[in-house]
Amino acid sequence: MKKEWWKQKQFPAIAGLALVTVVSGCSGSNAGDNGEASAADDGDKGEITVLYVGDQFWQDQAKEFEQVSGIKVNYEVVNFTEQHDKLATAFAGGSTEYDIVHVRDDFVAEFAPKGFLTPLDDLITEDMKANISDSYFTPLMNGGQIYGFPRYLWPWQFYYNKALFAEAGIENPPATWAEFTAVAEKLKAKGITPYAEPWGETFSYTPFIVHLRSEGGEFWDEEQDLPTFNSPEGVRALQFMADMNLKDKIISPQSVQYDSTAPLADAFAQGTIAMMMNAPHTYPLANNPETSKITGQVGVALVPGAQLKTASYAETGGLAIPAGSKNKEQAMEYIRFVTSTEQEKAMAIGIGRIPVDNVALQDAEVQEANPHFASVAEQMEYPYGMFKHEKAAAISTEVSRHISAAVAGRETPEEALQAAEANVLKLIGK
Amino acid sequence: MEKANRFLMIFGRGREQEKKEGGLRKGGLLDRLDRLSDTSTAYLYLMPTMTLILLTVIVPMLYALFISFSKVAFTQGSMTYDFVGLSNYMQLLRDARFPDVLSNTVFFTVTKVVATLAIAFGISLTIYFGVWGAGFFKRIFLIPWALSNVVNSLMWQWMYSGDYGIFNEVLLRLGFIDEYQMWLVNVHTAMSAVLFADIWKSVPYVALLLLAAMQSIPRELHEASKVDGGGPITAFYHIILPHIKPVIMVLLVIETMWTLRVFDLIWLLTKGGPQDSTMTLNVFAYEQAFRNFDLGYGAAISYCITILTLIFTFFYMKTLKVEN
Repeated sequence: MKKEWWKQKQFPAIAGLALVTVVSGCSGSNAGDNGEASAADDGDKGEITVLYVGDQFWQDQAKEFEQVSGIKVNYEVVNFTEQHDKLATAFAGGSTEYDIVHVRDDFVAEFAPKGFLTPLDDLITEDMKANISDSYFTPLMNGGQIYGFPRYLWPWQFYYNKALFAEAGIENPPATWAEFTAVAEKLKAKGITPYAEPWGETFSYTPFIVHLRSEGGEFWDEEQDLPTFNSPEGVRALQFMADMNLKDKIISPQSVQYDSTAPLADAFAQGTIAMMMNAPHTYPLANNPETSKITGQVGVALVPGAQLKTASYAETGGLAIPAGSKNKEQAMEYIRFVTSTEQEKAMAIGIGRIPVDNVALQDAEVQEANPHFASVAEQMEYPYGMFKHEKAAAISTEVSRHISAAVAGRETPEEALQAAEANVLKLIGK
Repeated sequence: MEKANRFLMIFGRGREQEKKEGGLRKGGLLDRLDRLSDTSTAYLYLMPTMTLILLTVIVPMLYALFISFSKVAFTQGSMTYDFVGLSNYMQLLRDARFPDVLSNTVFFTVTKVVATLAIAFGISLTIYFGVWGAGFFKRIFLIPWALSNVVNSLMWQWMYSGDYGIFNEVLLRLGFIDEYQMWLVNVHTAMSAVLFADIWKSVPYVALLLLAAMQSIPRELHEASKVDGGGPITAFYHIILPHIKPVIMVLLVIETMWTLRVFDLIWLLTKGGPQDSTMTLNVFAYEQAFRNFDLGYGAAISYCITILTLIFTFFYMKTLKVEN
C-alpha cells in the first residue's frame, strides 16, 4: 500500500531543505535591513540594489565598482520609458528595495515633495562637487535641497544624414524651420523620407516644446505655476507640426508610434529618415557599424530656429537615493565612484553622454571621440530646460494627447491647446 | 470520536498511536474537538485557508474600500488620509472621460468574451467530433495559453509594429493593405488590435474546459440520438449544450472577470491610447493612482470594476437561468 506523502522517507529531507531555504531567505533580508552590522560581521562591505537602464556600459561600470569597493551591486534593468512608472509604483507601495535610481529634472520635481527621495546635501562632499558647476545641480533640486547627483546632460540636437543630403543636392543643414521645409521638399522629391519626430501619445509634448520655444513661447510659467503653452506662439508651433504631416507631408508617418527618442534614433541609424532632433547618444549609435547603416554620414547642427536662432530640450540625468533605502552609505559610495572624473570620461567616450564634470568634458580624448559636443555650448545658450512640475507625468500625458490629436488632424491647433490648457488647470487645481 | 479520529488522521497520528497513548484524555484537546458540532469542525478545518484569504484578499479589499473614501496625500514619505465620503465616486461620475472609458470597457469585455467563447466552441467541437485537423489542433492549441502575459504583449507589439511588423508584411503580401499600417496608434484599429491579441491568448483555456465538459457526456446519449435519427446539429443543441451549460456559465463569469482585469496587455500595447480609444477602467485606475498619484480616485475606479463584474454575473445568471 502506498504510504502517505508525509510519511515518505524523503519528506524530512525535503522539509529540512525547505526550512533552510526559508531561514536563509529570512537571514538574507535581515542582512539587507541591517547592512552595516552584517558587513562588519563577515568582513564584506554590504550590498546595494541599483535600478537603471540596461546599457552594457552602465552594467560594466557597476561591476567595476564592485571590484574596487567590495560592495556587491544587484543591478536591476529597467526600460528607460518604464522608469517613471516603476519608481512611482514602488514608492507608493512603500518599497525599500532600491538604493540607487535614475532621476531627471521632472522626477525630482514629482518625487521629492512626497518624501520619496533622500536629500543629498549632507552626504555630498566638496571634492565630489569640485569639477561640477552649480547649474548642473539646479535641475535636480527641490525646495533648495539636492535630491539627485548629476551624471550627464541630455540636450536635443539636430541630426542629418550627409549621404542623403548629397543625393538630394543639399549642402548645408537648415538654420530655420522655414529653410527646413524647403530642404525637406527636396528630399521628398528624391523619394527620401525627410524627417521624423517622436509624436507618441505620451511624448509628443517634447518636440512641441522645442517648436514652441523657437517661436519665442514657453511651456510653463514656473513662478506663477501656470501653463503658458496656449499662446499665439503655441498655436504657430503646433500649426507647423500639423502642416508637416497634413499639408507638406514631409514627416514620416511612423512618427506617431515613437514614444521616446530611442526608436527614432534607431530609424535614423538605419538610414530610413534624413533628419531628426535627438539626444547625444545618437552620434555613437549612428557611427557604430554594429548598430548603424550610416556610419561616417552623421551630421550634427543647431536645432533650426524661427523667432529665436535655436531652441532645444534637455534633461539632466542624475542618481538619487530613495528615502526607503537601508544602504545609503554604500549608495553614496556608488555615486562617488560613477561620477568621478575618470568615469565621466569613460562614459563620454563609451556611450557619448555629455559629462557634467568640466575636466572630463574638456578632455581632448573626449572631444575627439564626440565631434557633436562642439555645438552643444551654443545650443545651451538658448532655451533648453526640461519642464518640471510635481504633476509633470500627468500634465505631459494630457498635453501630448492633444498634440497628437492636432498633428493627426483630429483637432485644430487652437482647439487642442485650449482643451489641453483647461484639463491641465483642472489637474493642478486652478 | 469520529471527528477526533479524522483530526488525528489529518495530522498523521492514526488510531494505533492514539491507543498507545492511552486514548482520548478527558477534557483534552482531542476530547474537546470530539464534542464540537459539525459546523464548528468544518470551520476549524477551513481556518488556515480562511486566514490566508483574509490576509491576502479581504484585508487589501477593505483597505482599498477605505482609500476610495479618502483623499490620500504623500508628505515627507508618509501617507495621510482625509475622509471625503463619496467624493471620489462623484468625481468619477463627473469625469468627462468616464463615459468613453466605461463604454470601452463594456465593449472590450463583451466582444472579447463572446468572440473567445465562439472560437473556443469551434475548436473544442472540432476536437470532440474528431473531424479533419482535430489532432493538429489538439497539439498546438495550448501554445498561446502557455505564454506569459508580458511575453504575449511584447510579441504582439513587435508583430503590429509599423516599421517591421510581420502582421503588416503578411497583409501586404496578401494584398489586403498597400503600405504598412500603425495598428496600435490609429484610433480606428487600436481597439481591434488589442482585442485580437487578447482573444488569441484566451481561447485555448476556454476551449480546453469546454472540451473537458463535452468529454464527460455519456456516449450512450449520442448513441441514442443516432438511433433516433439525430445528426450532429441535434446532438449539439439537445445533448451537448444542455450538458455543458454550467461550464459555460462558469467560463462566462471567469472570462468576464479576467477581461475586466486586463491591464498588462493594454498598457504595454497602447497605454490606453490613442485618444483614449483603448482606455478601460483598469488602465484608467492605474493611470490615476500611479501617474497622477490620486490613490483614492484610483481605488474608487477599481470598485467600479467590481460593481461591473457583479452586474455582468447577475445578467449571465438571469439569461442562462442557472440557479446554483
